[in-house]
Amino acid sequence: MTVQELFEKALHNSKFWKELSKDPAKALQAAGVKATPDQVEALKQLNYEALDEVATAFGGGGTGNIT
Amino acid sequence: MARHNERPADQSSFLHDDQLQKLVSDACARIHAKLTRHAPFLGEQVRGWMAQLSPTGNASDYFLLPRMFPLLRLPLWVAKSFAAEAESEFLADVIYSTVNGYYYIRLLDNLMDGHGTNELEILPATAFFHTEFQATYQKYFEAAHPFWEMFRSAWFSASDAVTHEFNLDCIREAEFEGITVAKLAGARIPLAAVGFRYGTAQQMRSWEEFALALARWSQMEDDLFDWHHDLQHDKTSYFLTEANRRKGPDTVDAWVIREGFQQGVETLQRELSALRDLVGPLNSPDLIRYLDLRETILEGQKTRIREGFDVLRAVAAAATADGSDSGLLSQLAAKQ
Repeated sequence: MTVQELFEKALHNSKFWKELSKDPAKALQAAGVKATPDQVEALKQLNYEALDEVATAFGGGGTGNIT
Repeated sequence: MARHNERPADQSSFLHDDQLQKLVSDACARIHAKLTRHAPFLGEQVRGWMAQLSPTGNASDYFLLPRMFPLLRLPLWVAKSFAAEAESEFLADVIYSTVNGYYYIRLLDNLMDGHGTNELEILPATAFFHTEFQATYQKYFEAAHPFWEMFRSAWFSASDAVTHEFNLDCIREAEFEGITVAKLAGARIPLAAVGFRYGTAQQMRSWEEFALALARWSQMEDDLFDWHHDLQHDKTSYFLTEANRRKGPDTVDAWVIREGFQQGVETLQRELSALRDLVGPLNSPDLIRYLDLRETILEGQKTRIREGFDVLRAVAAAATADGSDSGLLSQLAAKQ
């Protein structure tokens, strides 16, 4: 998965992130990726709540409030 | 377009203004009443359109969002700085005119951008919005008054700039400064109305200079926060033109996530600081409070979005075989 695909998931697929934070190995496997045990452990520690701001800032269809 | 991502109550307590809230609410009610009287079928459609622009479904809330360019706040701040007690009927008319002018532009802009909702069906409402925007000033300024020359100059140059920008494939610095920023010239009209009624030429010049600088800043902010929406809709902007120039072999998305957003926010922070240099002669504590709030909002977004982008990059590093950014995942995990 590229960062671009993950960005789209941040905007439109909150289920993926919930599953990733709960069980990274399973979520990545479902997406066709095999992570090492060290990576899985590290993935469990990330602050996924920070993605809420990304979704809020960029997922609403643009502001377009000037003109 | 113009679906907003923020709830009006988020940071608005700092900017809460009973007078403005009432004036905007009255202006929207006046639009509905006039349309109901003169064009009831169109009025029903327009009422729905105005409501769906607003995140709360209440048309007037749309104009009070903290991130909205303070098109309606500026004339009130100007009036307060010029006159201890401005006439309430005049201020109500300025706000009413400006709300109509805004809807006129919003309707056309949504159509030109190609992602409106029912704008095509209510296009004849432009006749109402434009008439009300302009005619409201007729009882204050006779036909030969210099206000009207300024009105024509601002309104026509804004229309020219909108058309010009629509035909551009990319927007470099020169086009941003000369064309994109010129789209915002219409914001001068309500300020000039207040200025001609209460102010002096020197005071008006200072306010106009500030308003255009703030409009320029707000456009930069829009470009930054709308980059993904613009990219998806093949709409060019200065930020996206720069992204394409600087991204190297990356995609635009990858560049924005890696460094582009961060650079964009830092530019906005520098420019906000420069805006403060123009505030001194304006005698407006409201304006200073507004800039303080924008600075706080921006700093918060910078921090939280950077954390979010770090998570994306770390997961991408774990999920790709090339090992790029491979140290990031463990660094971030260690920080938590």
